[in-house]
Amino acid sequence: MRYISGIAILLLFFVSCEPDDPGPVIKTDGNTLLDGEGIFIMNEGNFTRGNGSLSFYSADSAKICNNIFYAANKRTPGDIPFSMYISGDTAWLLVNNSGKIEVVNRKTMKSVRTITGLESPRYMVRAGTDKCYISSLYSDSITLFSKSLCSITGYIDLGRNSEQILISGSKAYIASWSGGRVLTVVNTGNDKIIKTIDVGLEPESMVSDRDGNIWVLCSGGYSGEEDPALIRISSETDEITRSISFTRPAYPTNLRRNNAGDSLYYLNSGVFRMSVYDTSVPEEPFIRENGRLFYRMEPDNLNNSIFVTDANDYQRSGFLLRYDKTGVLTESHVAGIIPGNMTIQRTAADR
Amino acid sequence: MKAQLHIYLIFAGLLAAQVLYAQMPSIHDTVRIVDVVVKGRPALRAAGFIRTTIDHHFADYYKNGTVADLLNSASPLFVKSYGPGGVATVSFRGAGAAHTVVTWNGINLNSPMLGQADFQLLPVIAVDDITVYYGGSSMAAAQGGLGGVVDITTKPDWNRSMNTLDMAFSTGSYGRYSASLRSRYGDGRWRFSTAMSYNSASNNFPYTNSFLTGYDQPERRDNAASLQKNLLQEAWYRTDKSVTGFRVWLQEHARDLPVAINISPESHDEDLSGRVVRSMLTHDHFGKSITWSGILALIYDDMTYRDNVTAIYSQSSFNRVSSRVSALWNSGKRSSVKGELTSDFEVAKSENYSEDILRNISWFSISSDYMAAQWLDINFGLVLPVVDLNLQKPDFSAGTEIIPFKSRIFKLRSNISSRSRVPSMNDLYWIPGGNRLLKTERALSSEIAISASGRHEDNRSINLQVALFNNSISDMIQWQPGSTGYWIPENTGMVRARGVEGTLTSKMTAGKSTVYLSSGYSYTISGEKGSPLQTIYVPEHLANATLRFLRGISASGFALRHTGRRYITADNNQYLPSNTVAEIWLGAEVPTRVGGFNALLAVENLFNLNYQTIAYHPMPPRAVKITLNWKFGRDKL
Repeated sequence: MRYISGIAILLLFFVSCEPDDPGPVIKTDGNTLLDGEGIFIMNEGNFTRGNGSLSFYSADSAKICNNIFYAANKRTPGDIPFSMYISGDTAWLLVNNSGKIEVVNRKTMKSVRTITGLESPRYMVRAGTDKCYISSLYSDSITLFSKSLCSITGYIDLGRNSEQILISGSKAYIASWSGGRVLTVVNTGNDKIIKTIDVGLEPESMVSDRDGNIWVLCSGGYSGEEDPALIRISSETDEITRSISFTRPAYPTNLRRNNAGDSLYYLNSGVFRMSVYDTSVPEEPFIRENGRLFYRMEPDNLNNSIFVTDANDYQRSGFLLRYDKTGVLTESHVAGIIPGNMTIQRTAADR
Repeated sequence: MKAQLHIYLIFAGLLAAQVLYAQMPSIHDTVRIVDVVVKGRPALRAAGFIRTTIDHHFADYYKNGTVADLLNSASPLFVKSYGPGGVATVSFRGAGAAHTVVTWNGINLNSPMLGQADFQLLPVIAVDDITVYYGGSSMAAAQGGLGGVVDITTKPDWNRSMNTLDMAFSTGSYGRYSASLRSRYGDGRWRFSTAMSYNSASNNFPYTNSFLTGYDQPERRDNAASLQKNLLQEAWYRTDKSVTGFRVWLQEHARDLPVAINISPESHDEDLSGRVVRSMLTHDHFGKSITWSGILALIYDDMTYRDNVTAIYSQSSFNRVSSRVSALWNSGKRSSVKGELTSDFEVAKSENYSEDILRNISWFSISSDYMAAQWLDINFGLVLPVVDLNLQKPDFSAGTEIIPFKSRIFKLRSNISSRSRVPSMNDLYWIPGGNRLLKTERALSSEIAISASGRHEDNRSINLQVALFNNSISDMIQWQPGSTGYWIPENTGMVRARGVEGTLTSKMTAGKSTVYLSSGYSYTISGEKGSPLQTIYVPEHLANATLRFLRGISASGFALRHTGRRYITADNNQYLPSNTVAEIWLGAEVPTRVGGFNALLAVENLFNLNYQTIAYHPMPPRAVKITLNWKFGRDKL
């Protein structure tokens, strides 16, 4: 009987000594390369699995640090970290499916505050000295946010979802992407809707050019209901002044511009580049995928580079790719799962 | 005796293994020899293949629970659960949940839309036997089980007392309430069974959340309630040469879907509800050398999903008409051949389909057992699947069983098989994303097992089995983000799973005391061919051990279940740490003039472990459950 008791105690000891740590546990690189010029990469991870992360690529050392949020805070940023907004030494991380914003110290990634209660936040843009607009994939409203108070201060009822927001002067152009076809123009002074512009099915991304025009890239819908199109809008009159169609099959995304504002870039199974004065889209890509899976892109003319993320197979870690201005691949770094939106961090002299 | 008991306990502790019952009969405390003719649905011996039946003691313990609870404790299968009352899926040997087929008396219960079954919606009260078919042996039970098949059956017990009534009531921590009733009645020709169950739970257990804000915040699980009601009515009529059966199973279920704890709860408010109606007519005719069997089943299943925050409301439903005709021919004692024709007609409706989807999957199978010698049994099988009148590549299986010694203590089994699985309707037709160009998945499996069993007089027995397995699935279907931003399913490369399983069961009686030991262990390596990375949510190590003590009217037990590290990303950079969960119970059974009464007190998660089986979905802390059970009517035999 003594032996039985002894073995039972041994078994109980074995169990009770197990560390109480529900996890998940993440392998990290460390986070020593956050200052200086570089790029923050929001690795979205897989929907509902909570395996998104943050990476930082240092342009000074040409190295990448992964899982920087976890390394600083010993927890993941949440489900689908989607975009980042930087102001001074503070960064706001919009975590889409977790419905929150992580407010962090830009240099250490240490979380300062977590703002919860948002509905699928997507992008955050500055709309005033202290005021920001936050778009939402599911909600019909834009969230008004105060940087100084670090809290939600109100809403603008759009009546539809919202994706990218572009500020031009005292106006905000808000795209309704998922299932939508409209740009909503809002007065950033009084947060009132000025008008809506029918631009085409699923306006996915926007930029402004050197002449102050707004360019909108419309995907044409998931099932290809319409031709994808590039739409140019005058920011003075808010009227469409040019419409350039793509020949299907085409799935253009991720419209960007160079620093000078005279060139447009977009992804369409490759990187395409065109002048803002072109009246048709190029037929051949500027940079070919060559077996990769281009997901997001960020031209960084300051460094004469184009940064592109490669989602790989959407299950394993993706890559950050750096191309020079002629389109030659110069660097490739392992990032997180589904490396998405990138935010360039410049030194004080460059800002 | 003491020394031998110590050895068993040491072995249990060292193995810390997973429960798996070998093909030897389940351990009963009393074996009764009955002098009646028992006619049940015959089956091939399926030499060389591994199938196991869950011990009825486990089924009694989980009477008010679900098959998910039962398999989690009593089998080597990996049960992935979103928490109590939440969706629970089961996977075999490194394969996915969609590779597990659930059958009810031989009829497929998997949703043709999702391609898998929710084990949390299968109440134990509606089950008499659970048989687990591993790998290639699944061909004998159903088509499409690339990992295996879990077959739940109900049957008339012609040997029991004519009328019995069994009522159970349970209550437990975090707002759990269950009640069940099973009545069996009839005479020598007619037999009826009525089973009802009611299960509800608030699941509002406390936990600490450090994932959302970075601070350890005590929270209580919200929006996690579940409710399930079942009614199963069965009737059988037998003659000297046949048995005809009719079953109707009605079910209503509703559950809130709690969010992952790294997601702000205000952003989601989801729930899922549904109704199921299953009916079945069976007929078995026992000829001199041929047994004919026929099944006709009608299934209706609907589901409503709601997200009150995004105002998403989605309804889907499917109807299935299943029919099967089989003939088993026994040629003397040496060989038997079985031919079977099965056909499933399915109609599915969903707001995410462009139109109602109609599909027919039929297959003709033929299999045979042949006893080449007293020590050698051989089995062959061939299946010809037809999907919407298109003949598919055939499935096949072959197995051998060798008994090397006259004492028949040792058995050596080996088998190889090739099986296929048709893509689900969601894979093919879902909008957005469905891919009509998907190919059928295929699995090539092999296994070899050695088992040993021994019995000493009537008071000691031991069974040991070790199996090596290998399962390669090609054209595996995985959903991935596409170029348009929506996810689409694609046939990816080959996923290979291999490993070893060991089981040990033992029983020992001394005087008025009986000790049962059930233990098992499995080691599984699963990943893409050529890659060292482990498939997500497939633990390398899985083990459990259960000790039960019976003495007089008292019954007590202790169980451990160890789940090894599970990676949650394909590159294995993130993982859930291993955990070992313990449970203890104490009970007493008191016979009465008209039957019996027993009471059971169980403590689950005895050491209050903070753990997750799915990332960011906490499992309950220590919980208490009390079960009271009344039985009326005695066995006359």
